[in-house]
Amino acid sequence: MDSIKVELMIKKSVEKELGSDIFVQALEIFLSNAEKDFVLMNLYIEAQDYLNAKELSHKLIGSCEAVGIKKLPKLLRELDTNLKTRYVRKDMLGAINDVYEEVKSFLKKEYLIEIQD
Amino acid sequence: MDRLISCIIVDDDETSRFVLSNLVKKNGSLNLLKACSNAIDARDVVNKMEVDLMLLDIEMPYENGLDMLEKMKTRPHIIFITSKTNHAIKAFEFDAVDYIVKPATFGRLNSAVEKVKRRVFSTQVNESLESDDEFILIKKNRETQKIPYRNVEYIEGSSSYITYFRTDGKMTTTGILKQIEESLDSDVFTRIHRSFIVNIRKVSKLTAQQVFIRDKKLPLSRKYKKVVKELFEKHNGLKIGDE
Repeated sequence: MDSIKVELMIKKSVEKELGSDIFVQALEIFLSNAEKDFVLMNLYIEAQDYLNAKELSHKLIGSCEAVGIKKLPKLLRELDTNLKTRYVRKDMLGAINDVYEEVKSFLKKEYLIEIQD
Repeated sequence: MDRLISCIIVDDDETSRFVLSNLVKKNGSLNLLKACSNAIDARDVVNKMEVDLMLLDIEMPYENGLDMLEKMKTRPHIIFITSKTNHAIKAFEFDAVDYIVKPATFGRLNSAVEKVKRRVFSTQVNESLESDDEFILIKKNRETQKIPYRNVEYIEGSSSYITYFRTDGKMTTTGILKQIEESLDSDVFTRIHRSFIVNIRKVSKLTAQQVFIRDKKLPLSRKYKKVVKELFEKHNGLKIGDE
């Protein structure tokens, strides 16, 4: 993976500070929780349970930022704002899910992380 | 050498707890007691153990960080670590030491911990300077109690009643604030308002109109401002900039 792609996806400063081993452990925790949280968040939105969906979107923002994921927090913040108004555009949710899949496959490939799909 | 600062982390997100725990472990001044996932767990630890510092997330399900603080009788020093900036003003009403927006970096955490150390250890230095003969005699119900200065935070006078706000609760007796003031060491206790005398060693912050003792805000009258400011500077070995 070229370094430009890595820089676009993740803040390398977090890895530097934690050290590679700890950072990979953090990513494993992140992916294993995010996998469940994304599924749940989608289900809540489908069921129009905006309160629970908002809790999860906020939790995911914190998770992404803790490990330095770049693209997702901005999109999740937009979703967070939409959830306040109890209206979620389908294309926005679709875009978020696509970016999450992109991030997930990047992390699995770049850091050799295995999670149960 | 200073002792370690005991701390807990409170964050509902497992990834954030893990990352922060590892940053805390890298800081040689901190001793991590526990990483809690919710407010109930955190309150329980604070009630059972000596906690100097809480690294606290705000947005948590069921009970958020600010609501949790409201319910706590005694609070450790607080550093907020959160994804949003919109709670910052409210957070500082709890006399927070610092407010860090995620991701928390090692450098940012260290600078916040240095501020905590200044607060924790300056209080201890002040307390160690107290001698055994520094106490107040409080008469109540035909009994006289000897209360060390370090246990008295401030005193409130209201008509002919005096309330002593101590570190372990409060106590009301009859009396006149002026007479109480005259019996106290003026280098330690100072009038800040017609109804209040404070123990300057307990003051954590001064503003133009208020005196802060832990999370309590007391009014500062213009009449006493200069004296209070000078005494606060003297006790903390600093010079406050003029407003």
